[in-house]
Amino acid sequence: MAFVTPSSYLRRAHAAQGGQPAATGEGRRPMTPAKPPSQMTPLDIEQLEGLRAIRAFLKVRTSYDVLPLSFRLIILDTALLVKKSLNILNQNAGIVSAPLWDSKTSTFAGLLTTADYINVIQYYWQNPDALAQIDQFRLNSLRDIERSIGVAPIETVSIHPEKPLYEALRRMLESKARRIPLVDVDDETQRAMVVSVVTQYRILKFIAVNVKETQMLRKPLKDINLGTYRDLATATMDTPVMDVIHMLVKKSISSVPILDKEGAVVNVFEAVDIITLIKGGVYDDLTLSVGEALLKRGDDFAGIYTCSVFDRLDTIFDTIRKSRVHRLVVIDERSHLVGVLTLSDILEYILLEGEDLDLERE
Amino acid sequence: MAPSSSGPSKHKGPHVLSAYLPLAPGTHHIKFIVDGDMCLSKNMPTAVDFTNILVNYIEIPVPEPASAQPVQPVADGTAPVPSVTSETATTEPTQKPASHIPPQVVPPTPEQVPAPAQDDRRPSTALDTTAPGESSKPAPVKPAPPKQYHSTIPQFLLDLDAVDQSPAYAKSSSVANTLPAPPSLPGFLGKSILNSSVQPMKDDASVLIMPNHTVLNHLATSSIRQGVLATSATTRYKRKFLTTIMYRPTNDGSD
Repeated sequence: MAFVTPSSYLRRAHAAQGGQPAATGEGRRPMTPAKPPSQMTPLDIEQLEGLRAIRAFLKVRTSYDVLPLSFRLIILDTALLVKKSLNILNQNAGIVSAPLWDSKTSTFAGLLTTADYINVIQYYWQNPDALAQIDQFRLNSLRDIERSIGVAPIETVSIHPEKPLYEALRRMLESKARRIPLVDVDDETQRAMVVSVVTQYRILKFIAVNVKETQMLRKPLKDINLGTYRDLATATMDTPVMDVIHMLVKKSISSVPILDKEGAVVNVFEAVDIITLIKGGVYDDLTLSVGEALLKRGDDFAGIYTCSVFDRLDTIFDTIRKSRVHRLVVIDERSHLVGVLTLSDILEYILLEGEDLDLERE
Repeated sequence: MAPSSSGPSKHKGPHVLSAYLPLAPGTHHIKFIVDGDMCLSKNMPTAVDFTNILVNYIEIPVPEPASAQPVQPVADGTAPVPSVTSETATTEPTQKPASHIPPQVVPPTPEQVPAPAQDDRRPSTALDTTAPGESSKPAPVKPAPPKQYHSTIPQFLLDLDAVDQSPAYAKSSSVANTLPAPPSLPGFLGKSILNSSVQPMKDDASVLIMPNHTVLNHLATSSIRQGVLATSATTRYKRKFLTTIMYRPTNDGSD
């Protein structure tokens, strides 16, 4: 079976960025400086072997492999009113995004995500007199809203279901997306059809369950510089929700840790909490404080996961395998905030760490 | 079919192991243990089971009523390394390990017992009296003489819309009462897999139970709620089943 060789992917990144592995935006950690082979400890070597095994797995497995034998996909017509779309997401437990379909042109019209709702909120905050027209906004006007508040429209990348997971993850990293639609061509109509939407979470879970080499990743977080440890946005239970939303937009993040007066982490406000907040369509609830907003969380909330800088990826993968983990808050022994470790961070590390060494070996 | 025991394959040589497993019709998950490690075969299709673990799978089709199919042989394990100590196929919990199963032809499952020979001259309406649950072979039906088709709506159907208590309405409703009832919905179509109360996987709300093939490519709709209509269909996507639900507004604002 033909494996995709690392160099075929890396050359593209090398050409674009003059030899550096792809850096994905400000605030991202720099790559751990590669040690020359003579200085590597057995721990380093085992870590690299584990990463290689995971990458080899990702280059063989495809997004189709991750799909269940029988699964559901919800698609929204772009002519739907924005507030109706919220009801639909809330009625279908566990859905926070959906592909959009333009039935006038019979084409796939992008992905609806929490970012779109956040942009709508931002728009109303900047144009309070437009609140009267909110009931008439349809999903096909979202792009206009984004333009008017100066947000660059997120380019929707997609991928064929039978391309390797490695490629799907690369595309998500490059476009800073957390999910990617799988698009194929319907053989009867010759039109694009969306098969499913696969998320970083689902792919990491797939790796955690099926790749035993994740147990070889035993270097602690502090030694591999994984996660964000500076310029962290935080809030308290009294912070108005609107301020937290501004933080989410300004820093392009999906969560904000909530601290108490002593600086200990007590909760995390996540972008998906916004969907629960505005589900009544009542945008006035945005005057609530974070504490009041968090009371609206449903019972199926997965919970907050924490770790320390001494934790290693083998135990983190173990946690991902057993639970619904969407991010980890890095804390110290007093529960004070040290950093945030997101699924994107983990995937970026897996995809890129040590690949330049692999290239030299080729 | 000559019975042969599980063990070294007689067809491909002593370095390849084979096993015969009696499997009921349906989808069976399978993994191989080679030298103590669980692994997958590259020669069989893969899927994810309900706990997101990659498995190989075999689909056993329901055998035709007329002939009982022999057991499907498991794909020969292609393990060229001679040091393979044991190769056991682990299937769904109810199956015994391969080494304990005496090779034999699977008796046909009870529902598929061939129906007793039907009388050809039995009128076709007798088919309606077949008890549900029995899948006996229907009697061959002589084609009815070709009817004349036209596009004029019969007057009595138009009169059904007439004012209540008018003589036209009374006449047409009495005619309508004498007509046979429309065929009832086949069993599976009445129970969409979307309405199933079972959630196979707690972690992933998009996982559904396997659909019966008879419901594929049918359009289902929900009632219109607050101006939104949901339609759905289950189709095959390669070897898996995709149920798409599309939400549309009844009024798309383009008046």
